This record gives sequence, structure tokens and C-alpha cells, in this order.
Amino acid sequence: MRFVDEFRSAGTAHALAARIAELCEPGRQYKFMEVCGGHTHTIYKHGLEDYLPESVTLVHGPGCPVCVIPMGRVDDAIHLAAHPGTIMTSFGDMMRVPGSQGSFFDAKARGTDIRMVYSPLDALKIARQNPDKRVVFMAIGFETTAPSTAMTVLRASAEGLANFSVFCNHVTIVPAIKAILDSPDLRLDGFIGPGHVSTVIGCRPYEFIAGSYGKPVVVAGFEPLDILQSIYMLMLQVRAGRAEVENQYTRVVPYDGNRAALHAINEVMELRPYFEWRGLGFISHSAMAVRPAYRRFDAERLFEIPGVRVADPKACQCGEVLKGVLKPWECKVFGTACTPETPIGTCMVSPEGACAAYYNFGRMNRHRVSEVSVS
Amino acid sequence: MNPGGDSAPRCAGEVCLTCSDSAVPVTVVSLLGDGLAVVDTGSGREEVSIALVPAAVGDRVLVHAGEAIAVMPP
Repeated sequence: MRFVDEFRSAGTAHALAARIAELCEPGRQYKFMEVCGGHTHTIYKHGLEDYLPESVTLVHGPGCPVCVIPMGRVDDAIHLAAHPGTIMTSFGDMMRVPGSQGSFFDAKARGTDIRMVYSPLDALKIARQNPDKRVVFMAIGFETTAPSTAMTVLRASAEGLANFSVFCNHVTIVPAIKAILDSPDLRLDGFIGPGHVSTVIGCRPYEFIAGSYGKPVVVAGFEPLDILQSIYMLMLQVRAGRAEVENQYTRVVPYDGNRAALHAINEVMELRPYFEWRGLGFISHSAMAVRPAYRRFDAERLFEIPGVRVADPKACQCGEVLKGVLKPWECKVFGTACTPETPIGTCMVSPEGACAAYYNFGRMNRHRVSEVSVS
Repeated sequence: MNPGGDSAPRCAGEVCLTCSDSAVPVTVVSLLGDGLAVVDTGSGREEVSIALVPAAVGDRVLVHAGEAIAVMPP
């Protein structure tokens, strides 16, 4: 990819859209889920739904790591950060995620030392500069950010850094996809597979989706034409009655992933028996914890953590949105009580959350109007 | 992603760092040893880890949360 224009050409987009339309059988609806929040963001930023025939619908998946963090976990982190002599470090996106007692920003305003960092390497620097403090990194994300956390723990271990630890909330995408496939209230024709998660895990972990569930998967890049081409590839599979894992994003994704990164994750982390996902509930083997061999860097072992469980706010329908059952604008509080400035649910927090993407790019108006005219 | 260069970190709003899936590819400028490298992000220079990829000076790499996870084709 030398010039971004090559991947955003409107002419090529219209040509691809026309080919997608040609593949649609009259009277049939096609529903594809884009698993990754990055794809959701591209789809709304570039208005890709406007290019697609009406019979092709995109459903937004659970692939925004910020959006799936349950409230109790935020409360736990704030509790942990409030220990005397502690500095909590976090990505900026996490700062606004509401817990039951407010967000990291609210805790920071109350005097808790919580600092934003761009990478866990920055958290390591803070630990070196503050040897008298205990520095905790709020580790979240799918397999894209897990290598970074793992390497940071390995670096801290090699340095013998005694005041650094991670509060591990890393989740894995495949069990979440499986939970969605097993969900009775959703019928999908295929998946737009996550791009950058796949640079790490490769394409093989999705083979069960094609093999056991008979649904096609196309791993896609993040430019508008990447996504349109992936939808075209999915349509070709559906029309031919095929279900395979295909890789549209070959310029970045090797079929076997990044072995060094997988090795680093596996060295430092192990699967948890279960983990709570916002809206999806408890999913077996869907998240990672620090291995006992690295217990010195595991905040869950070093700090007393209450293990708070908080039910999602009643008004919030993030769960249905994350499962793709509801469109964001169908949520009762969308755009009224819940906005990016004062989010109730996590889907409104991160720019890659489905609700924030709808809200920021004005998608709700079109749908709301069409919805009103139908009813 | 950080137009302010060395100013204090903040959420850029447009892209979610946690996922940073619209990551701007960066170019390796110099190697620092210990798996670290200086990269050119297009809007400034940053120190990142390249321990998990076979990257050399001049390569374009995809960085997530300070860790390069893939080398991009030229």
C-alpha cells in the first residue's frame, strides 16, 4: 500500500458495489458480521452501507475490546489504583469507560493517580522513574495488543523491575465469535474477519467457522475498498455454496500469523477458565491471565481486588448491539441519555464502538427517518 | 495519531488506541538494540519495540500499542 488513494477510489468502489449487487438473488437477504471495531469505524466513516444493495446488511460484532469490558472490571481497576503509592496507567480509550462509580477520569478527578500512556513501554518508563511507587498497567485488548503486554512483562522481568505489574484484561476473539454463532437469535451468512488480530493469530483459528458452522470468513483490511472487496468475496462464496476461510488482507496477514508474537503471549499468559464480557455474559476460555511464573508482575496477585460484579444499567442495550441483534439507533437511550460525552454503555465510549460510530458519522438520522416512514 | 508530537498523551478521538486498527504504518529509522527502534510516524519520531518482527532500517512496520506486529510490503 503505497498511496492511500488506491484504496479509496470511488470509481472502483462503485464497480465493486455493482458486482456485489449482481450476485444478490432477488428476494434474499444477506447478513454479514464485521467482527472488528476497526471495520465498523471504516464502514461508517466512509458511508460504505450507502454503496451496498439494500439486501446486504452489515451487523456489528463484539470486536471492540473497550466495549466488552464489564463495569465490575472498571470498578476493580479503580479500587486497585486507589491503593496508596500506586500509579495506574491506561490507554486513553479506557479512561472514559464508565464503572458503577464513574470512570478512570472521574477517579483521577478525585485524586487517584491514573495516567494515560500510548503503550505499556511508557508505563515501564514511569515505573523506572518512580521506584518508590507501584506502577500498574491496565492491559486490555484482543490479540493485537496482547503481544505488547507480554513483551513488556518480559522486559520488566529481564530488568528485574520490582514495582511494575499489569492488571490483565486481555480477551481472545475466537470464543466470542463462537458464542455469537451459538446464539439462537442471530442468523448470519458470513463474517468479515478481523484484520490486525489475524496478523498475530493467523487465519487457521477461523477454520471451525467454515468447517463446523458452514459460514464463510474473509479476513479483511481496513481501507474502504478492502471491506467492499471482502463483501464481494463473501457473496461469491455464498452464491457458490462454499464456506471457506479466505484472506483478502494478504499484504499484512500471513495465514499462520506471527509466531514470535504468539510465543510471547503464550510465555507470559494463560487462558482463564471464563471471563465476563459486557452484554455477552460469561464465556469460557475467552480471556487471558498472567501465568504463575510471572506472578511478580500480576496485579491480580499483588493487590487485594474486590472482584466486583455489576449488572449493566437496565436502560443500556449494549449486549444486544454487541450481538448484532439491535442496531445502535434502536437502543432506547441512544443519542439521548447516552452520547459520547456522557456514555452509559461502552459501545458509545470508544470511537470504534458501534454506537459511537453511528453517532459520530450521523448514521442514525437516515435510519431513524426510514424507520419512522415504515411504521 | 499524536499531532502534538511530544505533548502529553491524549486520546486522539478518531482512532481507538486499544485496537488502533487504522494504524498508520511507520518506518524504521534506526535500531536501538534490545529489540527497540526509532520509527518515523509521519508526524514525528517514536520509540517502539520491534522484538517480534524481522525489521531492518527502512522497513515499514505495523505497530500496535508500541509493539510492531507485522512488517508491511514495500
